[in-house]
Amino acid sequence: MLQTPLRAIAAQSVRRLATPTSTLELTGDAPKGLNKTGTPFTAPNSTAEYALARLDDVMNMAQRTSLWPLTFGLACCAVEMMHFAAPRYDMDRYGVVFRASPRQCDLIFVAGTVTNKMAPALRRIYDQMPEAKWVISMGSCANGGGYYHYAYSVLRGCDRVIPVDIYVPGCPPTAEALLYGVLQLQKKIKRKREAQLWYRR
Amino acid sequence: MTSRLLPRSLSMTSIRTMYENPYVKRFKAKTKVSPDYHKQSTGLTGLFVEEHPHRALSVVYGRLLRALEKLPKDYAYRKYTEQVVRHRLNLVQTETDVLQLEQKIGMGQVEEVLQQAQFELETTRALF
Amino acid sequence: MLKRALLTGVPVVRSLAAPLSTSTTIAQQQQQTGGEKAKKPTIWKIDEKKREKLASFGRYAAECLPKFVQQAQFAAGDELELLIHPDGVIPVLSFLRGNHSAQFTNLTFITCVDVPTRKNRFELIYAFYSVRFNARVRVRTYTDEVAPIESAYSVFTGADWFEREIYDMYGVWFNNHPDLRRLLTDYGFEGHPFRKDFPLTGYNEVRYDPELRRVVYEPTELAQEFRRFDLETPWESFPSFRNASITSGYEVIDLKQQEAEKKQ
Repeated sequence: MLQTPLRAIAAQSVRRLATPTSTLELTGDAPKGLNKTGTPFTAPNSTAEYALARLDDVMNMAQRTSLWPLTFGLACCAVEMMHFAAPRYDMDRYGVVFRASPRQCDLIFVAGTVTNKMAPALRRIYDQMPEAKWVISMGSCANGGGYYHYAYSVLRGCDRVIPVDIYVPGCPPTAEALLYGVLQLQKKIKRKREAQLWYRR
Repeated sequence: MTSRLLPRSLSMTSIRTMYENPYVKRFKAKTKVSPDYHKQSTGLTGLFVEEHPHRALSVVYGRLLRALEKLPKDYAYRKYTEQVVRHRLNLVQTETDVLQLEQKIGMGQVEEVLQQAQFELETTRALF
Repeated sequence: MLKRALLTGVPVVRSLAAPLSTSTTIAQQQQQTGGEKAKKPTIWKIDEKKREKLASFGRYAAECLPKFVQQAQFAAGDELELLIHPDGVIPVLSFLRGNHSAQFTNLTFITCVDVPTRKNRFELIYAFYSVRFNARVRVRTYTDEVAPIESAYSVFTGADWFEREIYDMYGVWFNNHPDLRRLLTDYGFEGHPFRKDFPLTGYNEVRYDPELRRVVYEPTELAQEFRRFDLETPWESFPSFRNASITSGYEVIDLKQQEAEKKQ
């Protein structure tokens, strides 16, 4: 009974993937700039680019749906990070599980004030992360020094030592804001074009 | 004299080699209280039961009095402390039951009284 | 086997005894007597008996250690403070810890205050608590930038990190300290941050240098310096205290009067 509808849906999706649709076709479900399947690569010029765009899609999907962050809670923002992991704003359902070792993670939440004493350690931990890594700077102290911006021993923003992808404002940012930040990072990863750029060069 | 106050060389915070396990060192060789002593534990953490409190107390009070004699005679500290120590020594020598002694002195367990006496001895030695 | 394991006696404490039960019974009596007390604002009710006992202890301490104790005073109406000479740190602390009628065995904290206008600009404060008598006392000494102070480690082992922090933040040197080095500041930090002449933003800041591939220290350059807004009211806040000096909050305990009374 259920088999024929499933087969029909599978057939339709295969048919959709086989014919690249252009951006002029505005469907009711997908937002502008995205295809029906949700990929942002909407106008490939050649078949090779089409293939690489699909490869990109798969890679990005794999990376963004299993972001594994490093526990780098330094100060009060760490508690909001804990709230993000708690049942209400459960981060495990997004595939985000905390890993203790920098070698096994691809994301780092810099949560809390980074002092001058901590800065070399933070840089070292960032260097230890394997490639394809992202940084979310959480809270105003990590964004730009925050409440302690004028202090003698505070690093005025963790972006002085590591490159940051997403800044989450707040003091502390609510767990929901951090969740929004993670979702925005997922969208940023979705737009990544590694394979296509490799082809172009 | 069976005293439980750790000298500095055996404490956990002093400089020690890495082969000394501080927990073993601190908790291993405690002599156990004989089973028919009426107080098996003081009920306070880290305060071990003294089996012969009268002997220990009289020894420390004797040391205190001898140390106090070195201070000048009209010194207020000497006068007050000698008064207290003589009173307590009197109580120790007259009262044989340990629990009654603790009640009469009124300063908690007899091990605590012993510790106070040892601190007072250090104070007196620090004052001259 | 365990016949009477725990001691059940209630200690009868002497000299500094101020059991908390007296203050609660006083409060209950006051509640019963009238609503007059209820209309007053909720401020800390000073226990007069305890204050008397603390005052007598202050006099006793001054009598026992006349060489070092220079003054005894009450800070907030209730808190005993002994002002001593810096040479007398070890004798006074040892007295407070060891004496049978003092027994301040718990070191609460050690801090320092920097008053740059004085000749001895640092004022060290030791705070103690007596578990036996439920009493608190503070001891204040003074020192210079160069004059060292004897470390309290030989009396209270818990004093070492407090003294390390004071050395790190103010620059006060401690003699006979087991391990006097920096505690809170950065590893190569120069300067003593809590001094009043050290600026808020410090002298060096940190940046990552991609060529050297490590973190480097550079002189501080802020985009916008620290702004201090004068948000106080243009009217005088406490007109009745206009001519009061800075030491008028302290009530000095009269030591000499007691001695004169005794001699009479």
